Amino acid sequence: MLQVLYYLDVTNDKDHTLIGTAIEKNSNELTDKEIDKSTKMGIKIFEDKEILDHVIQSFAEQYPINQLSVIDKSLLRLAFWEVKNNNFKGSEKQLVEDFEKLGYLFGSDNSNKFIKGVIKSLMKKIKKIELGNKRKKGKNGDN
Amino acid sequence: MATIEERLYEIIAESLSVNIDDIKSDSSFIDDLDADSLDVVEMIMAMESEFSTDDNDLEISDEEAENIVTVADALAFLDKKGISE
Repeated sequence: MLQVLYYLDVTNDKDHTLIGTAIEKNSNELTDKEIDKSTKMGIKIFEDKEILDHVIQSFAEQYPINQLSVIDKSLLRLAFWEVKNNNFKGSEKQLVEDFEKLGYLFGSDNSNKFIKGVIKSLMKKIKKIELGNKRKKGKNGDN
Repeated sequence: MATIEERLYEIIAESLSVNIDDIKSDSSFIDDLDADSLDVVEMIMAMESEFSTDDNDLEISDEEAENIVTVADALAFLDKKGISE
């Protein structure tokens, strides 16, 4: 998935004609089905990049999005997309840890700390919003 | 010139991709307008940007965001912040 996002960010393959080949070449351990699934999801995430980048930027104000490394940007897009679509398995803590680890493995020196900080800030705000909604529902006796 | 309420409704419609006619004062962003949490974050950012002026930079803290659950809450918040036409 990260490979797909990276590829889309650094190439001008607007029709996605070459993406399959590019991913296949670098993914010996993945089955065709997995490659196909990752590619489709990656394209979907990339299509939302305008909205995702806008929100990411508000949590990383000192770091203009166009100056972030492709890896950091791709990891944050993936994380924010997972949050948006409630697509992550496990707890929020797990999500933060997973992306911190990915930042450590694929990013530069401080990527893991940066990614962790940004995702944590997002989750803090989201938790507050959800808490407020839950509380209001409780007050109104909806649940 | 558009009123605060009209400007807010525009922001909500755009951020949450809903029809402006479907927005009611007591609409909950998540439960009635089908927003996800990230949509609400985006809407809050749009509010900050729309209602900030050269003299007054509107920032909505996490704690304040917690209390903005419905359209009426958002309007009350703007009113409390002294934002008027």
